[in-house]
Amino acid sequence: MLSFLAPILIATADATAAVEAAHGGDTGLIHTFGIDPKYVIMQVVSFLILTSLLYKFAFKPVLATMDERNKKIEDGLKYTEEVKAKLAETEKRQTEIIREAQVESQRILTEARTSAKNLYDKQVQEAAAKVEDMLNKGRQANELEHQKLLSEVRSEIARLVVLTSSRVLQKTLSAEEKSRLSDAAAREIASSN
Amino acid sequence: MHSKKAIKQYVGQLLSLSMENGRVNAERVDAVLNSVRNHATKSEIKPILKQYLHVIRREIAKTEAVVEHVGPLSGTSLQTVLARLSLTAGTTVSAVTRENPALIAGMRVRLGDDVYDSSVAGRLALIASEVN
Repeated sequence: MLSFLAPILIATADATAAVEAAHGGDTGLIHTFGIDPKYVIMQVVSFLILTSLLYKFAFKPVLATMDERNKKIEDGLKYTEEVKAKLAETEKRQTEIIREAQVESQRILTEARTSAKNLYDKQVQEAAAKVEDMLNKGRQANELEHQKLLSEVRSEIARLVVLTSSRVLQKTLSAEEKSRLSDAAAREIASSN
Repeated sequence: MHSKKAIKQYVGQLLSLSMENGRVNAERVDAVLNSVRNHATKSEIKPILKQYLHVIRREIAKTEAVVEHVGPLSGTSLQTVLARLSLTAGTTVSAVTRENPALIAGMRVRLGDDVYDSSVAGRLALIASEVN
């Protein structure tokens, strides 16, 4: 797993050797400060190993997590913007629909009022016509009844007059008068067309 | 000859044989009846005689006036009426007189389908109908 560190270790060893070669005459100074190249190399190697491990197991996942978080946040913001846009559009459409519904309801209400008024007027007119018709029929029935009654009275009076006249004439006419009336009737028939 | 039309045609011929000078002759009627009795079948006799009686009555009514009157009727008045009816009918009209007190006074004459009413009852009935 740490094979990628091999070139670094080799390069570090080479660099240490070069430093030692370049400052071969200054070994006293290095010894004065207590610097041992072997420890320096070990620390460098340890540092590199630690750095590599941190990079591999801490920094890289953290970066990935942060990238993922950032991406999620961006997606969330983007989604929020889209939702806001959709919400605005929905509100706009809702407002439009409500306005159209109000207009439509107003139109329906107006039509309903007009229809109701027309129906009311029509029914009132029909009722008035029916009442007038009933009154006319009643007047006609009364008139007919009146005429019928008058006709019956006239018929009865005429019948009584004829009956009375017949009885009176039958009692009062003498044989001579009857003979004279028969002769007159014969002359009338003879002169008729 | 069972159809009504055939019977009417046959009776019309019998009627023409029964007439003499525009009047029904009794002797001819007897002869016609004898002929029918001898020649017609039993099923034909009844409808023929029924129709024959009807037309004979109608013909007699055309020449025989029924004169209804009230009280004594003078011969002059009767002759006057018969002369007028004969002139109208175009043949001699005889008369049958009947007393009818319901007429009250006056005279009513029936000849065929014609009625001449000059009675008081008739006048009163006319007045009553006009009132109605």
